[in-house]
Amino acid sequence: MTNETTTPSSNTPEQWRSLADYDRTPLERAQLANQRTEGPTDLEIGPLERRKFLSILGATGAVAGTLSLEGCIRKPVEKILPYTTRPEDLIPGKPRFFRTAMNIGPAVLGLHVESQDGRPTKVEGNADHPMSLGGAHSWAQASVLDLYDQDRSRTPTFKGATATWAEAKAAIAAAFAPQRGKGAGLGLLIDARPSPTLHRLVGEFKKSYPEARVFRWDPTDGRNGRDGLALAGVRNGRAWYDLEKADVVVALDSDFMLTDGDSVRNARLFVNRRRAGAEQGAMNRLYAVETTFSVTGAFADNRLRVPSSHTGELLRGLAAKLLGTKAPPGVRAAIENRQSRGAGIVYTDKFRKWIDAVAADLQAAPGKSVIVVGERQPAWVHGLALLVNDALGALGKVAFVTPEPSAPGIGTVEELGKALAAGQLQSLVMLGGNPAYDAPADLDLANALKRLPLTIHTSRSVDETSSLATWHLPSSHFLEAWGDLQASDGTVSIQQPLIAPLFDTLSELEVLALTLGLPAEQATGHALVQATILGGAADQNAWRRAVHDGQAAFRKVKPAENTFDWGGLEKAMAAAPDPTVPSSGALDVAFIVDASSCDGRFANNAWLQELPDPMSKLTWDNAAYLSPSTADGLGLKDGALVTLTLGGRKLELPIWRLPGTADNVAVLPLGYGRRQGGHILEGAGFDTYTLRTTASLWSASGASLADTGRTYALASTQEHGTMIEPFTGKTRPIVREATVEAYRQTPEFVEKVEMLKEDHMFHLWDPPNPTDGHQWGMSIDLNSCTGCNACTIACQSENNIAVVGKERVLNGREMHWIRLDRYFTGDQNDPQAVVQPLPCQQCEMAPCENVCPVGATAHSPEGLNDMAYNRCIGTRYCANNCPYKVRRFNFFNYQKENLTTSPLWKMQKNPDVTVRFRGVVEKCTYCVQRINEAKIEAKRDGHSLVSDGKIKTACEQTCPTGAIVFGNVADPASAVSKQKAIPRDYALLRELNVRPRTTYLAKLRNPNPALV
Amino acid sequence: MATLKNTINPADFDDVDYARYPDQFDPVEGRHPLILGNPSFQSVTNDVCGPAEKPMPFGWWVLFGTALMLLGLFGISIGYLVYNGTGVWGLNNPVGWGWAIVNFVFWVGIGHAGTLISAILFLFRQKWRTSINRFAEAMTIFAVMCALSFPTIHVGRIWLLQWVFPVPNQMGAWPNFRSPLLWDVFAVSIYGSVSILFWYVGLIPDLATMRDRAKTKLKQIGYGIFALGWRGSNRHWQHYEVAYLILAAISTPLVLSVHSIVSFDFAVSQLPGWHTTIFPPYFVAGAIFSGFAMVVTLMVLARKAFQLEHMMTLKHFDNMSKIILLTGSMVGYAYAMEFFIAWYSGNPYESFAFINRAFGPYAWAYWTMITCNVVSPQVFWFKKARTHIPTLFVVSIFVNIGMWFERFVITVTSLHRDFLPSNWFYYSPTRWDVASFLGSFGLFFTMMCLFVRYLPMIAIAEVKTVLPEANPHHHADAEHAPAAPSTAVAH
Repeated sequence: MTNETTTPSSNTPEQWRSLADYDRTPLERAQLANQRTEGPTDLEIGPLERRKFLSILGATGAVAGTLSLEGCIRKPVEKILPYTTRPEDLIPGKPRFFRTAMNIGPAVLGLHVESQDGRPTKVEGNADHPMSLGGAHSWAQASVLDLYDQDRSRTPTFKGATATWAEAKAAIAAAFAPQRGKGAGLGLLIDARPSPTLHRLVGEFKKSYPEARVFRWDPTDGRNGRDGLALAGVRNGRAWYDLEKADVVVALDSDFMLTDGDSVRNARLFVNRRRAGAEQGAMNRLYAVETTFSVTGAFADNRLRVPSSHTGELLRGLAAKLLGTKAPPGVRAAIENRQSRGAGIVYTDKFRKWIDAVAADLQAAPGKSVIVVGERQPAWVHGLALLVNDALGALGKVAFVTPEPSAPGIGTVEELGKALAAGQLQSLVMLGGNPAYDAPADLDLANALKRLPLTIHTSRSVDETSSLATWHLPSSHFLEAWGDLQASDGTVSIQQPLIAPLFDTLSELEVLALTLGLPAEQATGHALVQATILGGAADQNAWRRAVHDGQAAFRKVKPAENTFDWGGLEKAMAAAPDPTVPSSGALDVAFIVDASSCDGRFANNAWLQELPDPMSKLTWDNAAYLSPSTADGLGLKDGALVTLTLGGRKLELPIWRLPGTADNVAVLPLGYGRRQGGHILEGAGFDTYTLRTTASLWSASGASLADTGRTYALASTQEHGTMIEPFTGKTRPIVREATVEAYRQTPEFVEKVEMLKEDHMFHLWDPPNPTDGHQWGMSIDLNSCTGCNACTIACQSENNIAVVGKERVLNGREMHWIRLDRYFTGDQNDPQAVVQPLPCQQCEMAPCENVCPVGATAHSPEGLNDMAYNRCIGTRYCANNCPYKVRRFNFFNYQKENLTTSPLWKMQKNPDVTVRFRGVVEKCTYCVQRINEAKIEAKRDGHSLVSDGKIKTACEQTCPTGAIVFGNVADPASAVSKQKAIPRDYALLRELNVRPRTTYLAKLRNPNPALV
Repeated sequence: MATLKNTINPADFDDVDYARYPDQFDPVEGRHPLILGNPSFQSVTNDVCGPAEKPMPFGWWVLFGTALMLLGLFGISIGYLVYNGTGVWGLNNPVGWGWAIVNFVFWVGIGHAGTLISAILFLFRQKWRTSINRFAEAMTIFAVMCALSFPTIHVGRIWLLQWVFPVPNQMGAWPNFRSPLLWDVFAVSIYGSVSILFWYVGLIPDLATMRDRAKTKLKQIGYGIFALGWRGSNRHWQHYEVAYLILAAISTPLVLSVHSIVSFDFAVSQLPGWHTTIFPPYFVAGAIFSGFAMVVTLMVLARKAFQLEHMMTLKHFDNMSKIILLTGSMVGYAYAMEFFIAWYSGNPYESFAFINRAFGPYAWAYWTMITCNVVSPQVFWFKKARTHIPTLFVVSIFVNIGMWFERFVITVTSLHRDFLPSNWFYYSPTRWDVASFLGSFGLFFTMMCLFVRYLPMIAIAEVKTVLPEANPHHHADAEHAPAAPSTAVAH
């Protein structure tokens, strides 16, 4: 008896077992999904427990007894208390907006954040910030969910045990105070945030502890770009672009529209230029040379898929053509020498043709053409691109170089590895980052850190590094902390807290200040940032202005003077390894920053985990992308688990066939397979960092694949990636596209592919088609849409859309109201890709409306296809009858589940949008809450109509390229009416006569005729 | 006459070939008798009431026990569903309707045979229906019960289901009368209630017989209440027959309407594969097809178990097989016509939907359907097959399977690949889909078992009227009822 009660296995109290079970759930679910076999299975609910079984029996009885329970539901008692002293400007229920900024590595994005009664709820781009221009990427949109992450640490921990800040501060003081003026054995590791205050404090740190060492590591750091500029003699420089001025853009392994750097700005400006030339004049042209499909590659007019190591060779070829004798002699030798050496294997006919065509195109637009090199390329490619851009006259017009904030003497992660291996460090402070997870595997930082007597790590949750560190200090989210960030163009943004830290946390800056032993009043985030921005001056007005604007205009850093010294480039080019041609036995490996998880920093963000990858459409996992022919050659199907061996390191992961990937290259997205840091990341994907070494940070060759014979369930949201019907081979005119040339000749080309001519479409009765007052409509320009997914997350954030989890995505139950359909066209291995955002089309003759037996979905006089969630009983007939399949059903009580596992998420909910219950169909509403808010305002101000542009739907607002335009179609002067008047405008599935209010502008491409 | 026996050995009737008995004619009709063995009125009463009065055979207990267990499974699967949500089924985004709707249409279809046999065959004076109508009607009612349970549990918020009824309320919110689902609510519930009424009216004289034969007080009271004081007076019979005729007339259009309206659930939508004008007649034919197949399946079992071979004769099976062959061919024609129209309409979505049915991921379901529904009934061109019990049984099971698959093919294959390929997704059921389907058989067979346990499974009074010595005197037949109105038609 006594024995039994003490052994945990048998009679552990029920509560504990339930808690443990509830903690394990996501992992179990993933495992469940992977054990799935053929035949009927219960996909989503774990084994029946006794209690659950009993309650089901109870429910059975309840059903038998009474069908109507609605009268008996008890509403929670809530107390509402008024403010004794109301904060200035705060009207309960009215959102307020604040400006701040965030960074991904060195890339900064200015933000405009909505706060509901003191809770930050929705992130938008800061229209006045040059890096945002009003748009935001999905990471920014999702960052608000990180704030309310249930797994955030509440207290510091010491060797895994809960500790207090007083103890932590004492420990820091004890370690640092005696070292003042010396500092031997002290180390500081920072991440890549371009924060002037951080670097000012690092400078002071170096002054206080002259012998201490400072290192920087961040997988998203622009190291190659920085080193590339250094090859031209520019220290701590960072390149940035004004693509609105470029007619020809060559993207070399660069995903400048999504994962590489200043993507929001670059995409917006590039598309601005494209839009300007779409209807008349000349459109710009984008060449993409890349290893696997990125959204930039999908957008490109001409795309070349090559292994990563061939990209530099292409640039070398271009340089040979473009520079000729103008090149510095040493560089010229390096270019020509390699051209003869690299011939044969790399220089295929297609490759040569590309070099000729692209070089001619670049040369034809001097000062208006630019080469953009991605971070994945080695430094010498960046350096050579700078040289070519200089020769093209792009520097100072399209491409710029601005110094970034940098304290002197910051070492690399390799140097940190060496210092640790050599035992030169006694203690190490790690401000942010997660080196135990993401540092190059050969440095084996995880083990090295364990050997240090004192390691201090700040992070928002106990992650892989924190769990190894002696001290884990919980850090504030950027929406809770003061900070500053300098964008690549030199704009300095202020980060201001929108909310006091939810938990007892400090920002990284404040922790760094602790090591400096600053007096308490100078060590607050506010004081630290203000001191940097004002530089000692006490101009409070300037400060308040900067905080209000989100940027300190008076601190803007000017672009550098262009004086280059090409000696470094010469040497680097001479030392560059020869390109290799991968084969099925010796594959190339390319690492990419994941479009959802980034480098792993968003791994515990459920919105991003469930966000389909823009190209592979995978959720909740990463996989090794192979081209279809490579996979077929190896006899591998999607989801086949393989063992990938690279330089003696092995990783087991599934493969996914991604058309457009270079042959014999395995593309490995980073940021998955994390082991610690939260409950959402558990079981999500595979840790590709284990293969990544200092020698192969972005690509490597000589990898081999071995099939394990097992499979892994990968959850993709789109099974069919082509518009061609199986069996019949007919192409459905879903995404319509033409070349600019064809469009100029046949402006009505979208009409040519219509299945039914306009005069062949009849109605049984006059369609109800009011044309007065507000008639809402939307136009989506497929020629502007990059497929970056920002709209999906913006919508999720605005409209309280639930997260459903991996097995439900496997089961086809994702809830996104706006999805991005991606289709491949052309050759299976080397296709082009198009994307199409698909929200509810708000049909005028909506098929969903007449089939609902209870009239839960009805048409508003303003043309909205309204959904009355309260009235819906969940027959799903509307969803069946929707030709676009944009209606989503709450198969389970997702919202309750979400709030059970992550109660803090309720702080993020938009109070203007109903949180939907189980058994209800939901869908895009054109953000009806925003429409009504604007209408109320207009009425208050005595206007009968809302002025054009006043209402922006969430997707429209965040779209980095302004592809989505919403407005009143009854007003011929509105932006949406004007966009719909463009001849490229077409209605998807027009032949069904449902008269959708959302229409599309066909995509245009401007391919180089020489490459067709 | 001397050759006709009064003592019956039911086993004699399993291989009756009428040709072997050329001299055995009903002396009034001049045809082969419908009830074999020349039973007396008394022996008919004994034979039919007997099973309900004697202890049930072992097989009944086995069936009943199994059915009860399945019924329990039904309850658990419904409880599990309501507790957790519709997500316990395999439905997904493009496929919003799966097994539950398939089962609904399947059971409604089965529920067609009873009323057809009772009402339409009654109006057409098909006397052979008398031995099987009670049984078929009971089956109909139980099938409709099963059918109704599926749309009920299928909705996402079952606790608000009352909103589909036009109940005046303070919100002024009415159901949407344009929705085929609402038409369904009316069509199936009217059909269910009329079927129950029709069945019950037909039962009254027999309930009185049961009451009169009852040996225990409880039974006397029980049957007595439901017999409504029937004493068998001429006046009773007069009213009874008029009521029966009126109900038959009311039921007849319902037989056609209910499945037409069920088919509107599909036909009124715009989904390729659903949006088809052929659906109403095609669904009605399919329903009769499946209903008759189910009657055959059950009759084969019941006549054997309760030694009623002389009343449910091969003649009945012969007739029913012919109807199965006819409706099966109509269904086959509809399948072919759907393909033809898909091509002839020039609608590429429609063409693709049908090609995808036959060759896409669900081709296995499509060809199962074709094999079972179109190929297997073809054996009924041969009289040998129509009167061979094992063949009948096997083919009837095939037809049941085939008709379930027909609904599966229509519902799922149309949904899983529609207009935008980005939506395409495969659907597979979960164990809870399977459980609720099996569970519905539990409900059905539980009810069936209780029916044969407590009620006369053959309409005693009606069967007696087709015995030669009865020479039916229907009240509307002019020559035998001089008081009838002059509009009455002579036969």
